[in-house]
Formats: sequence, C-alpha cells, structure tokens
Amino acid sequence: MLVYPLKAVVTSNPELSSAYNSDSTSMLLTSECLTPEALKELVAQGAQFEKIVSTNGEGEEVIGELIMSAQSQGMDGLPQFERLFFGDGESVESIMKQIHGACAGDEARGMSSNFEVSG
Amino acid sequence: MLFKIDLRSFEVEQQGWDARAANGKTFYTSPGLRLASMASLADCPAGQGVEVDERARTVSFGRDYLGKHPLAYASTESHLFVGDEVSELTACLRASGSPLTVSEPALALYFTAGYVPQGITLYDQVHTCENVSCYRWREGRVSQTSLFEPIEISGEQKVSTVAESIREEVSRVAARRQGVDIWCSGGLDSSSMVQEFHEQAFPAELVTLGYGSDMTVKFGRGEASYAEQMAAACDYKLRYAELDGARFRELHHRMASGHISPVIDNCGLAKYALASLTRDCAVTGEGGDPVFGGVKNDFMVYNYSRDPKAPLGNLYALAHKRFFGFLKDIFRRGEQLQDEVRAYFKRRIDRYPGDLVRKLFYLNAIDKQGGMIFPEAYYPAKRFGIEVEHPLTSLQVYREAFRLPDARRYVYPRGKLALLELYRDRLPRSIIERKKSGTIVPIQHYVREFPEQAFDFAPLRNLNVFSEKIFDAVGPAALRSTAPEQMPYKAALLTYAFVTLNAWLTATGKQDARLSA
Repeated sequence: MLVYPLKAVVTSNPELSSAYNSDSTSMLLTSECLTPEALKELVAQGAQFEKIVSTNGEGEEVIGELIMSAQSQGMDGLPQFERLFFGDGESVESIMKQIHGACAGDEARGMSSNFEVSG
Repeated sequence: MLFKIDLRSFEVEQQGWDARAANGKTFYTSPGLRLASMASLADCPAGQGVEVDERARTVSFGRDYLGKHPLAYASTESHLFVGDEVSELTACLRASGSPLTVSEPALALYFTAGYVPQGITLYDQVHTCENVSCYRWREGRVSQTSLFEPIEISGEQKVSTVAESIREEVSRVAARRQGVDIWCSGGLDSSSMVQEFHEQAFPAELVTLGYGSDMTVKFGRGEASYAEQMAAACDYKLRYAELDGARFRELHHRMASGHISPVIDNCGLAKYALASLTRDCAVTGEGGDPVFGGVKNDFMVYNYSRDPKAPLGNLYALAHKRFFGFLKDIFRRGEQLQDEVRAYFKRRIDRYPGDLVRKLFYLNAIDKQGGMIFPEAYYPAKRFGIEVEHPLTSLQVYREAFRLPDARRYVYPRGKLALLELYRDRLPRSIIERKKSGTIVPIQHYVREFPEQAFDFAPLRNLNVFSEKIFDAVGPAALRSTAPEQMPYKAALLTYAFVTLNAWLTATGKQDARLSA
C-alpha cells in the first residue's frame, strides 16, 4: 500500500524539512515536507494528495502537470494548492506556523468531521 | 426501561420490559424482542434482554450484537439494576444509600475521545454494557463474556452480495411502515439510503439540518444544497430541522441531561434536532464510515507507516482529535492520565485480530458504533417517540461487508470503495465528488447561546481533578473576549466540552458526586 502525507509541503530546505517532519502538529495534520523530486515520484506512483503547499515556488512544475492532467480528464480528484512565499530572514518556527495554518484549513475551522479514525 | 432485582429474594420490579417465562427461567426483553437464550444476543439485530434463573441464582443480561440499543447496570450488595437510562440507575443507587463517585480515567477518556467508551460511565458504580458481550451476575459478582466472532475474509465475496443485503434491509425497514423520514446530509452514506428507497419506490421524505435564519446569515447553509439535490433527484419532499440558537439551548439541555454520557460531537445535537422533526421512523446512513471504511483510517495508517514502532494506543488517542494532547493542561494529573488513556486504547486495539486496517475496521464498527454512534440515535429517538433504523449497518450488511477483503473497502487514502462501486453511477455526480465534510455545526457561534448558569463550574471544581487555569479558558469572560469568527474551533469545542460535562454530571449525579478515592 502506497502511504504518503496527505498534505504535502514542497521544499528543498533541509532545515525546514527536518523541523517540520518531526513536529507533532505536522503529524496530526498528516503533513510532511517533500522535495520537488519526491513529490513528482509520488504523483507518478498514483498518490492522491489532499493538499499541496508550494513554498517559494518549489514544486510548481509538478502542480502545473497535475492541473493539466486533471483538466484533460475532467478535473476529478484535484488536490487543493496553496502557494506560500517566505523571506530570507524568516524563522523556521514562523514558517512552520504559516504552513500549519494553511494545512489545517477546514479542520481548524471545524468544518471537517469531528471524530476521526474511520468515522 | 428499568429492571431491579432483589438479590436475596430474587423479587423483580420492572418497567418497560416484556416478560416471558420459559424453561424455568424468566426473560425480560425490550418490547417486541424474542430471545431464546442470552447466547442468541450474538444474532440479535437490535434490543436488550435480561434472563433470571432463580434456580441457578444467576441474572444474565446484554444487548444486541452491534449495540444499537444501549444498556447499563449497577449493583449493590442487595440489588442489581439494569436499564437504558444512566440517570435512573444513579437514582436507584442514591435511593439505596450508595454513594456515587466520579472516575478520573473516565473523564480523561471523555476529553480524549469525545465520549465515554462503552463498558464504563463517568461514575465508578455504573457501567454501560459493551456490545458483542453477555453479562452475568452470580454470587455477588458481575462477569462479562465476549460474544465477538471474527469474520473470515473471502476472496470470493462479491460487492453485489453486500448490495443485496443492503437492499433486503431497506425492504425490511420499509415493509413495516407507511413511510419513513431519511436523515439526509447529502453525503454518500445517507444519499445511498435515499437512492435505495427511491429505486424500490418506497414512500419517504428527507429531513436535513438547517441553522435558522440568523445562524445561516453568519455561517452559511452547511450541507443543505446537497440534500436538496438528492431530494430533487429522487422527487422526495425535503424538510429542514432548524437548529437555531434557541433550539440549540433547548436541545443541548435535553441531550446533556439524559444522554448515556456527555458527548463532544457535533452529530449528537444534530440528531436531536432531526429526531424532533421526524414523523415515526428515521432511516440514517450510519455505517458508511465504520463498516465501509471512511477516509479517517488515514491518520493511523499514515503515522504507523512513518513509525511502525509508535505505540498504537498513543496514535489512536491522538486520532480522535479531541483533547488528548491537552490533558496536561486540563487535569492536575494530566501526564499520568495520558498514560492510562494510552494503555486503555492499546488494550482495545489488542482485542481485535488482523493487521492495523482490520483492527481499525473492528474498532470503528464495534467499539465506536456501540459506544457513541448508536446511542446518538437511540436517545433522541426515544425522547421524541420515534424509531430509528440504520440499514447500512444491519448485522447482515456488517457481516457481508467484513467478508470482503479490506482492500475492497479501503486503500489509503481512499475509503468507502465498495459503496462508491455500488452507487457511483446511481447518485448525482455532485454527491459522489463532493469533499467529505461530516455534519457541520458552527460551534463557535453556538457556545455563545449557553445561559450564564451553564458556566457555574462549581460541581467540576469540587472534584479537585481539573487545573484551576482551565476554568478561565472555558469561562464566559474568555468567550466575550473573542468574536466568534476569530475564535479557534478547538477553544470553542473545549468550552462546549466543559459545559456539557457539567450539565451531565449535574443532571445525573444531582451534584453530590465526588471523585473516587
């Protein structure tokens, strides 16, 4: 069974990846940082993401391909996309907070179902 | 329904049960139910039963296999009390002079899972009966026997066989009535029920949740448009159970005072609202998630694949997405309680056979349905004098669905594969393709409807288990300091959790309960 983060965060920044992937909020959100190459590989294997967050333009190429492919097949199963841009001096903590906010989305607003684990 | 037996004389006093003598025993069953023996609970689709064997001096009791009808019990040296209303059992205990004590681990489970799991209540002295179980009182002690039967997977099992069992169950439900009200959110599960009734030309109307005009202006229409599409597609009349602010107050009071346990779940109140508008019989789409594998196995599967050594009890506690991570802030002994909760869930997971996905299927079909989902329909139905049926999770559908290889129902991260296979071409495309939302209740707005006295947390403070700071976080001042639009959902939910707990304990314990030693 192919298992992957449902909310993929595209970045090549190893410091951000390391901090984000070991954070408990990321775990609760089933979210993980992926390099653009890893994202491409997972898409090729048939991964169906709920959301893809592109940071500083990374992963745009794969996102573009996903949109084109979905358009040609009638827009079924397209994930949500969000683009976030961060300045050079921005701290990893601040960046993570913004990404978590983007990934939480509906769940944070109470729009998603409230009892998890198949139910 | 209340059953009392004097354990010395075996004299019985009861209300609401059908009584029948056979083979030297007396059977007390929920109205209309016939049980040949307590072992036959394993094949019982819905109901409760008590068997008194005066010769052997035993009292056996239990409920239907999947647990559609709840049951609880309490015992003293001289009496055994069995019934479906916890508040009646606590009243019996009080009348017999037995003190009530509140269980701290049960409170921790409430804040972790959003409900108190079956087998326990918030009171040490009152126990709910687990499903797939039979209980027996003998020589001053109550023991529990599991009736659980694992279901063998068959590679030959067909989705069409599951479809047949769904259809048969719908026919059985429809045949007994002039018409039903289908609780329809416009999601896949309830819409599939609408479609089944429509295709078999059974009379039905739909009932969906509305929010009243004020709340709709602030919040929107929720899922109503999908229910409207289903009503139009099947030419059924649609009615709206409006859960406006005043109705929220009334129904919350009703639910918090009489439910089997306090519940932190949006669906609970919604079902009281739906039941209040239902004519005679409600049909729900319950079962779609637990029996057919909703998307929410994902959290467990994803995190387990990342770290197969991660303690499953911890993951399962977190997977409920309530307040497990906050127990340290809520309770004085939060860290120890977290350990107890982890251990509790580990035991529950260990009970079931198979790999993680199979275990999750059992946990959700048996533990969660029996502990939370079914009571959320049973009690509103009882309060409003209606019946409620769940064709998607009838005993037969459950058994046929579990014979399918799990991968026919769930492949990460896609769930309900068998249901989609059955209904993809029969339901409107918008219903099939919509994002799952669950029942939407804008709790940030509703918590402002609680009257001032709902925030009198003295009974909770007196338990001496909660951190003092937490009462500031869930008090009216905290509510007033934030506009609903800015209020984090989790903060609103925690306020709801405390107000609900407070109301439930006050109603069932008459504020005299203290923490167990």
